[in-house]
Amino acid sequence: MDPAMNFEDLDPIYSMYDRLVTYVPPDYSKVAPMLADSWDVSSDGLTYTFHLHPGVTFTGTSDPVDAASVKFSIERAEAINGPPAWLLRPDGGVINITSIQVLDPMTIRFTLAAVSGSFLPIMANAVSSVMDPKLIAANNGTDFGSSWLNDHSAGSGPFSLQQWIRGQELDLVANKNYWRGAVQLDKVVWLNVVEATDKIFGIQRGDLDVVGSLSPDQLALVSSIPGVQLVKAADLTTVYFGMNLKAPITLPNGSVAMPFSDRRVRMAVKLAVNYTAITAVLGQGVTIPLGGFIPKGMLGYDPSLTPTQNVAQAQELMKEAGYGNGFTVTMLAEPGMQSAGIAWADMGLSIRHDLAAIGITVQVQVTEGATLLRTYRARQAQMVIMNWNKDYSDPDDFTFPFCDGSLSHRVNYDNATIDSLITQASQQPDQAKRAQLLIQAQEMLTDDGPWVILYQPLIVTVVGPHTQPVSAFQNIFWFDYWQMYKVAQVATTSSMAVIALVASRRP
Amino acid sequence: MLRRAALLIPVIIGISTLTFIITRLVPANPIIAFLGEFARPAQEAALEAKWGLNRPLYEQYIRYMYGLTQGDLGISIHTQRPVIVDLEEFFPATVELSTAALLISICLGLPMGILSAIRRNKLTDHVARIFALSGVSIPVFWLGLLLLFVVYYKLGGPGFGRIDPGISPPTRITGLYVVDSILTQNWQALGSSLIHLIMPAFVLGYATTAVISRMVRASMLEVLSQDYIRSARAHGLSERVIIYRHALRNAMIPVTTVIGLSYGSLLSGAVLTETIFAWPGIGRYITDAISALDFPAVTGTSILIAIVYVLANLVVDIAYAYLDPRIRLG
Repeated sequence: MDPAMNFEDLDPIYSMYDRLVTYVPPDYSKVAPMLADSWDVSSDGLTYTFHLHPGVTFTGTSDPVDAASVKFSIERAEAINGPPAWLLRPDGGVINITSIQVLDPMTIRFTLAAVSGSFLPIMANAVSSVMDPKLIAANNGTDFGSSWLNDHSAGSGPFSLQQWIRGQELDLVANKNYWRGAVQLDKVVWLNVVEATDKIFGIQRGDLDVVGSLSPDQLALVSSIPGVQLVKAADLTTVYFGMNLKAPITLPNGSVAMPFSDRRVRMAVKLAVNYTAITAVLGQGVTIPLGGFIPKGMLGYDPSLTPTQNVAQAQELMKEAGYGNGFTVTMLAEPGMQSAGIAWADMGLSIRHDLAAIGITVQVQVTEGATLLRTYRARQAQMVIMNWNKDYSDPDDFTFPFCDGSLSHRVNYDNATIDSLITQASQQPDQAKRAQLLIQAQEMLTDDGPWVILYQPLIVTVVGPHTQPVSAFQNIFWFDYWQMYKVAQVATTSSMAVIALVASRRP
Repeated sequence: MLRRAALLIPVIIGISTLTFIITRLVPANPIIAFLGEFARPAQEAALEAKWGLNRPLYEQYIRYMYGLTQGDLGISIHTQRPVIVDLEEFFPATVELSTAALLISICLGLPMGILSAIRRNKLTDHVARIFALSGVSIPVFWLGLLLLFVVYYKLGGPGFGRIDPGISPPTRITGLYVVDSILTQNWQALGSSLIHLIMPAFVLGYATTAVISRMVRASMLEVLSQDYIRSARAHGLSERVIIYRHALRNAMIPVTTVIGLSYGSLLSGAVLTETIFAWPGIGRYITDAISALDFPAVTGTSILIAIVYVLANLVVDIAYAYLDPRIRLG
């Protein structure tokens, strides 16, 4: 439960720790004050000076939340170099912080090597949680207090860690003196329940208050339970399939070619897919159509990019490109339920049916995640169904992978014009101009790129009748237990189910 | 006896070598599994060095085996704790579940088998036979879900988990909730953990119940047809004395083997039951470990399971000697 070590199941961390700034759902394109009341940005965009909220103390100690503790926490996360460190690390991280200066106890200054729109969103991320330096120092051990933090917390958030019984439950207890206002719940309990039947019976019986990670079929079942609400929030996730430009493919005449290196073939594939079948049939009620790679809720989202099917035009393009006789391609898909609870193997079959109309025979090969990733990373996959999920709420987290980074390299795609556009966008401090550049990059990629964007998943959280307000479940990064009253139980990820108990039910 | 115990050593060496090789053969990278796919190469290299995965395979093996002699099973990649600490936490849950399952199997299977044998081909025998047949043919997950539906959902009985979410587990002494509740006189926790134990234990033990009852029946019938039983009857001993004092003890020899081996497989094969009933035992632990490519945890758990099997066999052998004085432990 160390913010510097965890990159998944972050819900408890967001509830135990505060950060300088916070996200404001459902618009994740800007941040709002949290521990910092305000901040100034220098005219060159390289220096951020934060003014901290006075009088905040860490839970359980009277240590002040000051500039020194902010500096300590960020530098600690860099030093530990755990799973989330790539967001922060100076050596090749997303943001390049050259110095952190404590100007006075309540003022802290960050200097960056390059202008980055990602800086503030990363300061709102769990990795930037502010921790109590004295408490950590007292329990430092040999790992910066990391193992101690698995059973304790050192934050100023609305809850603190009471106990973590591994594999069974994790209990947070309310910080009754929370500086932003009273915490209504006494306790939040996460139960490690993975079986859908347990979740459904549990919410019906009222033993679970909040449940997540159910498939569309299961959601349809729960939606009929009286008093139960389904809270939907568009996740910052893009589900796509990629075409490898340099994948050698054997043609019907026996020769080997790289059909996806031809733009017309890529366009034909995009035009052949029946997008409505995917969002309206397979993902009914749990997906929204998406055309550009930037999902709804993020700066640069453009609804006009939503694609449409045109089989005749697609067939024409295939002929023009010299692939009128078609070819056979292997598509890798992970097993089981994926984004929005859809089985990608099923989606692969839908795509197989669509592409058959333009002569492409798709062989869907269901492949276990780690093996699939290895093939994909080695640039050896011909076609892959995948998703890209937010790490923090800035479009840079999507533009670089899709255009000029981890994802585009895997399918051997490179486009210097688009690369220059996204670099300009990343360094553009004016949000409106930045959005314009991002839209332009997406339009070009839609017209030329290796990606077929399929849908944006919704996170659907099942909330029992006793938990209010349901708006607290619309945050796709964490649930605001702080503002909740009565009860809550949640499964934010595939492996966690959560309950929060009211006082009357406590032992 | 000592020689039997010494058998543990080659078994442990064999099992750890095998799992070591198998986990290394998996075509996937635990570093990526842990750091996520977005980690930078420098970060991956640092972790590889920290976990010693950059060293030659034989060196990793020697280090692992050396650690093993020191009681060090390595650090779990998934939980970031020593595997031995994880096992101390997860194993008692499985022991509790399996022991309860075995007790239920014996308490139901034994009388059922005896009754079937003495009322051979009568109604009791037929009912027991149907029970046994369904026991071995009904899949555990189906029975588990069915019971959850009826007992938990329809009748409002206990559901999944080891204890009610609102009740704090007893202070940890053995890790067995029932035992710890009694030791700490925490009656509320005892009640809650007992009723949460019954259903999953019954589900897990159903197949074993069936096997035990059939085994007892067959074994009893064989013993009852032997000469010394006829002699006993001729001596005018009561049927009760014949069955319980003379027949059952001899009939128990093959049954003991089944019970011992069943305990081993209950301990290692509770994955489905643990998943359905959200039971945090080693079945869940090892499945999580496998999907996280957590080599040390997989190897450590395998060794533990191997030890359990060997010990179960040892106990069975000791029980033989008690049941039949002609058998002496070599």
